[in-house]
Amino acid sequence: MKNLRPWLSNLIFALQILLVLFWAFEEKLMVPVWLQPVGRMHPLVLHFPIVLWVLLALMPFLKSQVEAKSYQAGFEFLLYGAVLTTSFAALMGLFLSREPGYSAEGLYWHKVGGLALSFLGYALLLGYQRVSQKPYFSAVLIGMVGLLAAASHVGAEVTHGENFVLGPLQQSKDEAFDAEQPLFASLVMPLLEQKCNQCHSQAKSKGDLIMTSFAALMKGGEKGKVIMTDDLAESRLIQYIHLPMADDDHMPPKGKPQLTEEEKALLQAWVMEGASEEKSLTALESQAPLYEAAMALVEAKGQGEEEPAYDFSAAGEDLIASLNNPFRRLSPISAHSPALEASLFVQKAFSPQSIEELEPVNKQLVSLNLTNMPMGDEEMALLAPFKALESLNLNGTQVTEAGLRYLEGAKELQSLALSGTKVTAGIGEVLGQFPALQEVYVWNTVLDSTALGSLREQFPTLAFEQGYIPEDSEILRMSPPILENESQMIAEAERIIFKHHFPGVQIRYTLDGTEPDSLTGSLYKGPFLLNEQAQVKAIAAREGWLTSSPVAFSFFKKGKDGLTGRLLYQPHPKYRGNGPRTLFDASKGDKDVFLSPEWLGYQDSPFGAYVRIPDSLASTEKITVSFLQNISSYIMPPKRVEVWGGTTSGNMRKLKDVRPPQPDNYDDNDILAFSVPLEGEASTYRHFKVVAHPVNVLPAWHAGAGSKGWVFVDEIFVY
Amino acid sequence: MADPIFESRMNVTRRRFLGKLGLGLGTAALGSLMIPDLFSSGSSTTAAADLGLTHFAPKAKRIIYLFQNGAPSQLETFDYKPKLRELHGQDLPASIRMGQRLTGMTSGQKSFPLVGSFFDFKQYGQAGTWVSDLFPQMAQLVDEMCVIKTMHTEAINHDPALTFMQTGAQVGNRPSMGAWLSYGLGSENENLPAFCVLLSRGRGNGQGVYSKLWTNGFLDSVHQGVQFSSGEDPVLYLNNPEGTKKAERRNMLDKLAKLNSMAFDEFGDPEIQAKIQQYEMAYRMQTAVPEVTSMEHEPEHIIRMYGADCMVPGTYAANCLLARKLSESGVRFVQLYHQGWDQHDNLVNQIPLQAEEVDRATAALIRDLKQRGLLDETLVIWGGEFGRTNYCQGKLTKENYGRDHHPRCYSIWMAGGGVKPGMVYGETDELGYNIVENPVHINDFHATILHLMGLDHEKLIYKHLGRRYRLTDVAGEVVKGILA
Repeated sequence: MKNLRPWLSNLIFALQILLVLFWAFEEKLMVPVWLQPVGRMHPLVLHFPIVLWVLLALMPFLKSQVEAKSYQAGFEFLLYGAVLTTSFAALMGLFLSREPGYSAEGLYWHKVGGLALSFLGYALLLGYQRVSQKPYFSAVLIGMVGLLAAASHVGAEVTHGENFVLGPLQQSKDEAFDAEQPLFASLVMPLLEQKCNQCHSQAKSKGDLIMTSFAALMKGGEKGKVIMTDDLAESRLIQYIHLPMADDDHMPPKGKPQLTEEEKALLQAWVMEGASEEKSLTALESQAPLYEAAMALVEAKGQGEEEPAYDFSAAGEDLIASLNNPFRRLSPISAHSPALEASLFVQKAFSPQSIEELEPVNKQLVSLNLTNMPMGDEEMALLAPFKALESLNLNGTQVTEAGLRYLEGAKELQSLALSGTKVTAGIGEVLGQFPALQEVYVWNTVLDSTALGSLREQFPTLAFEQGYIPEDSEILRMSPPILENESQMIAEAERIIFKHHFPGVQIRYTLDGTEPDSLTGSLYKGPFLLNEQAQVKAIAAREGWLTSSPVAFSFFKKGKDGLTGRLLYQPHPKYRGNGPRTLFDASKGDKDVFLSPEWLGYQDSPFGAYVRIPDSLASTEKITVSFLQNISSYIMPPKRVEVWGGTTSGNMRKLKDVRPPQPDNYDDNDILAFSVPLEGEASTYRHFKVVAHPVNVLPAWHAGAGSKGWVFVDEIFVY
Repeated sequence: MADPIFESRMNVTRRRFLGKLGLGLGTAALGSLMIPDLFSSGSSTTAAADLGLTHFAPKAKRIIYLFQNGAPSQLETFDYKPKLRELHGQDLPASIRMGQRLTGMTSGQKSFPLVGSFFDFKQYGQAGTWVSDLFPQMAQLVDEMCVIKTMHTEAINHDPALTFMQTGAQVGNRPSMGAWLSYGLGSENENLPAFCVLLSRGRGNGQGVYSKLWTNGFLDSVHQGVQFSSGEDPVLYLNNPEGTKKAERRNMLDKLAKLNSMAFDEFGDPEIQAKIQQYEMAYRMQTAVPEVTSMEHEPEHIIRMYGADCMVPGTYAANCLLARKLSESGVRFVQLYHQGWDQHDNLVNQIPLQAEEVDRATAALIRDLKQRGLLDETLVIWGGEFGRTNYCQGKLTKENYGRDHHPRCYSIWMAGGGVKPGMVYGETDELGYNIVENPVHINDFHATILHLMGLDHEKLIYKHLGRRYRLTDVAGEVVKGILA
């Protein structure tokens, strides 16, 4: 013993250090798998310190009968043993506590107790020689046993549950709910017992209110009745439970267990219903508020244990990991469940092995998702070993009812998704083999309402989901044609291409700005050429559908090159585009994005530009200006457009002065073209001036009625 | 020397002291082997979460979030306030406004005339939920929906509000909801991104969306939302360049991965690993995406269901259909943004256009999930970033009005995945300005969504710059009242 003592002392010291460390960084402590069995031996090892500490506390009774030296040696032996085993047990306990599934509160105090016992034991080891002769030494030892008892008791509650010892002597309070019983006895009273009687009983009767019996409750307290069946608002019981938490009168008081929403609703409904002592659930209509409140409370009580319990053991982590790959995901349904779910992805990666390889986990696999996998009845044979399946998704596979026969062993199957499969009315002969089945999804199969009607008769407890069936009487609008050209600025020889994804759709279009319909307008037969700037309006039509709303695109052909010019008025500082270059860069702006280098914006002054055509051009046909319309952003067609032309910049005459039509509603955003033909002498002009005036007062129907409008210009073309 | 034994024990020699100290330090060092993160200052810590697994059994496995960008008016859609029609044109009492700050757009307004909805409401379904005439199709499905009328936020402008709704904070450096879920639950189908983003633009006044809304923030970049193209091909450049065979591509990627691994060994930057993973996923997407987007398994009447617009790429309807296909193929979080709900003026003309585009396709998505048995495990969320004022912005005329931003209450709905169907949660006052019962803050909304996905919002944690972050940061409570 003498030689061992320094070693033991050091070992115990080291254990205390570990305990302090692990306790301080408990949240980060990771117990490796190979050490977990050590932790699990905590319930075994803890019996040693219990016995040794009790023996130590009994030692003083032995003192008078044993020789002092032997007593001393024996005491020391026991003390070292007790402290050593205590420290070990505490360390193992810390390891064990890192495993999931222990309630936090009880565990905390158990930990504190165990650690305190270990630290105090070590202190005693250091100092016992000094105090062992003192009269209070026995009390110290008994104190240690007391602490030990307390810590052990809390620990036992963690593993065996609270009130384990006295449990059998007490009546079980959570009896099953009986609809025949008066609601007062079965729901209201238990609630009062739990949340109110601590203060409102014969023993304590705060505010002179006793709530332990129906009569006492109805009698009320010092302020009178707490329940007025004729006036809910005056019932103090109901008033007080609904007060905000911060209110001093709120009941139950702050810091005490509070009523749940369901409990509050029940009390209120019970008072409203007349606060009867006798009324039972069966005496109520199912629409009555009290009935609903009672059912909600019963349901809420039943919750809590939400995770389905399985009695099979979990598959190994390595096995699960080895079965995962990008095309097959296998995982527990939640962190601590042994049950597994699997999904297969990517049709091209599917092979019979994809399913076969899952066989080692067939006992654990409860959910399997095979959506859109290239599976027919033959492949269904692969599913035969998976007898634990609860949910199976075969949507979009080629499976028929013949294939479902392979699932005969799947007695737990609850949900079967067969939407888009090849099953037929013969499925009625197969569904009987699944006793647990609850729901079957058969949308997009040949099963029509008649077939389903007889299936529903055959299996009244099954929910068949037929899904959405279009009503023939409901006629919907077709979507408009899609323009394939990327830009509305078209190059020489570029064709206009429309398309539509719905087979059998006819596209019709006009080039003159009129609205096409399903009879007028040119039928689109393929990509077509545009001779000049044009607004193309197109619709899509199909039998059984309303013709689509028209789409309009203003196309601009690239004009003559080499135009130059300058701006006569400065644009608004926020919308300066790229200056005069904006107008001649052969690049169109987007009709929805006006804050861009492609657009020039004017509000306080008119837009004005001087345009110079290179002398090298023989003749011209037309000048075109393009404007933006974005009505909700106050960008309107110009109020007035003037176009001037001449042989020199100092000698121009007015070629055109018009007021373009103004919209009378919030039309869609659009790009508008304004063109002036250049005929006769004008076709030889080399100098032009374009002026466009913004609307100075927005019309009354506009949200900005009365304010100034804007003019936006992005391009000037000469053809 | 009263007690020689005690004195001698107290008289510790240097040798003994150092010996004990050495023993203590040695033990601590040994013990620290079991605390891997004891000295790590890095950002790879999660407190209690087993990443890739739910904390408890989830109700929903996937989310489709139909974000109505620009903030649809609750007063024209789901929050029926007949009182506003009675008081039409009267001024909003200051006692109701209670100093609520206003946006710059109405702060200069001299009066705040109340305005009742021009659109009628009716009750639908077993639940008797009030829905406006703008949503005839959605109204048929109220028994699948849980309408929350009492969402509220602190932000009053689009950008912070949108960022708050998507990332749990008004400043834009936090991971988006989808990124958190990808981080917490991992990918279900490794051949597709766990977090996909689809954009569409309606005909109403629009507000922008930015990639910061689907950012991974400080999380690893594999969790970033992948924005799909709104053009003809949702994912561009899926095909190998002409002349490149599949095997060559594989070969090239293998070599590239080797080079990247070498770089990783040298620098240890986790982003290099992310890069390798992203190349691998792109390779697998070459096969997986065409299968997902193919119409092969879709019957023709699916087009009647979603409306013909679902064949026009980049429309809301097309995105709803694509969202269903992605979700069915195991994409955890499909985020749609539909722009155009910002009706400051001309509400009467704009909102029917917006509603028309959204109504049928939204209803179709729910029906479609249901008929495939997927609605139980898919959470569908519909709503915007805040509400709209009960008073008119600008001039109230006989024909038209507009509504400004309103943070104190707005309506959204959820359906499927563990949410109580056929219910309305919370109540606003009869003027539709303040919440009187069961408020749901954005943090509560996030906590509830994580709960439905099987995650404890207090345990899904990421340590960054020396402190722990959550989607709900330091707030949020699960809204138990809407759980099925």
